[in-house]
Formats: sequence, C-alpha cells, structure tokens
Amino acid sequence: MTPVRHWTESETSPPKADAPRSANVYTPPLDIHETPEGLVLEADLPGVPPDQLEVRVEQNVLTIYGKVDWSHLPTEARLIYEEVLPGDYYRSFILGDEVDTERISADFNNGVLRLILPKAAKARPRKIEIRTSTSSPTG
Amino acid sequence: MNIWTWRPTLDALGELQRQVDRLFDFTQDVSRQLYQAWRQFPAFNLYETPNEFWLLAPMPGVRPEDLDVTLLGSTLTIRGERKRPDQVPEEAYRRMERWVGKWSRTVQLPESADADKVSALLENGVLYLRIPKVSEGQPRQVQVKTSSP
Repeated sequence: MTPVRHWTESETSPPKADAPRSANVYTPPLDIHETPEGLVLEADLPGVPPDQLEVRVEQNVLTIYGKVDWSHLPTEARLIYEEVLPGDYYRSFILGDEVDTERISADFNNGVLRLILPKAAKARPRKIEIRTSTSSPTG
Repeated sequence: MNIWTWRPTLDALGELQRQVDRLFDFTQDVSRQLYQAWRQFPAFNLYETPNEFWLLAPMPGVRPEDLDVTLLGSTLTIRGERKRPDQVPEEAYRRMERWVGKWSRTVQLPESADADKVSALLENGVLYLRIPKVSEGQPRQVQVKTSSP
C-alpha cells in the first residue's frame, strides 16, 4: 500500500497554500456517488478561497488541502459566542485502479468541491457482443 | 458471592451523581469530533464591534435563494435548505457524510439590532451577517401624569 505523503514532505512542487498552518485541521465531510462514466466526489470546504485550495494526485493518492480565510470579518471584531473554530481542511485517500487519474476534473462553488473521477477505460462497462452462428453447428 | 453494600438513599443519590459526572467527563473527552458531526447545522460564531454584531456561519452548498434571514428586535433567525443533486438516485451513493436537509437556527442577540440595516454576504460557503446595533438615543424624559378627578 502506498503511504500517504503529507504536504510538507513534497519538495518538487510545494503547495500554494503553504503559509503557516492553523492549529486545527479538519477532515472535510464528503459524498461520493457513481455515474456510468465514473465517480463524483463532493466535499464541504466552507471558507476556503479558490486560490487556497489545492487538489493533488500523486501516483494514486488524491489529496485535498484547503486553507480557511474568514476574510470578511472586521479585524476589530471581538468573539462573543463560538461554535466554529477556524481551521484548515485536509483529506487524503487512495484511488482505486478504476479511476483514470489523468482525466480528473474539479470545480469549486459555494464552498463545495466537486471532483469528477472518470473511470479508466478498462473499468468502464463494456458490452460484449455475443454472436450466434446462424448456421447449425456442424462438425 | 457478591457483597452488596447497602447505602442509605441520600448516598445512593450521591453515587448516581458521581456516575453521571463520570459519564459526562467521558462524553466530553470522546465527543469533540462527534459533536462536530451532530451539532446543529449550521454552526455559527457571533462577534461584536462597538457598533455592530457579526454572525459567521459556514454553510457550504447553500445558495442565496435557499437562505432566509429575519431579525425581530434582538431575535435573529436564519433558515434554509441544503440539498443533494436532484438527479442522483440514493443507491448511486457510495459515501454520504455531508448533512442535508431543512434547517433553522435562532440567535438571541445581546441587545436589539437594526433589522433594516442588516446586510448579508455568502462567500465561499460562509455566511457573514453584519448587524448594526440600534444607536442609543438620548435619554427620554417620560411625562408622568396624574389622572385628574
């Protein structure tokens, strides 16, 4: 099994969101559903500006890292009630052989990341033609 | 053979109290992550500046048309709905971790706010509500009348 490499261990292409990380790192909840063409993954990453989101595929390991920025809050605002602690999002998992990692596409709207993971050609259902010999089997 | 230690009623209550305390301690230790999952949607923070309150609530996937904000005096209510894509049948899901459904949360602000001046912004799946406080008017002299006979 391929070990999941952490961001900081990657030297070839450092992630864009490389600023000092906050203390809280959350695992974003996600849905995965299947379509005839492949898998669709949707993950909640509220508060992550598009330029602070990094989706990476290395070998067969898909990694999502998003840095939260509550930019609209005035700096002088004083906290009086708290349910949400600011934090970043990190999730990494291994893709099965069925996914064509070259053709993964992503969009990111309203804090929801949507990844299209197309099935590799070999994993796509293929209809096998069954031919019947019209002529009677003769030896 | 078990030895049953008899306790008077009051002590039994004390024991119950201790057990409940232990349960709660345990729950607090274990459940921080769990709490994140089952708490009400959306979670929110409330902030204050000299003239405003600010509410911040992450609500990924909620569109402005799915959101309703009302303020009455100091009672703020936000409600809305979060949906999965309509056309996807449930049996197509391999994983369902994201919470969906209709939701509503009510917040009692520490003081009255100006409903007409509330402004809302949804950005990157986070709702920011700017709620100006009601400006403190001049102290008002209340006329006291006596009912003349």
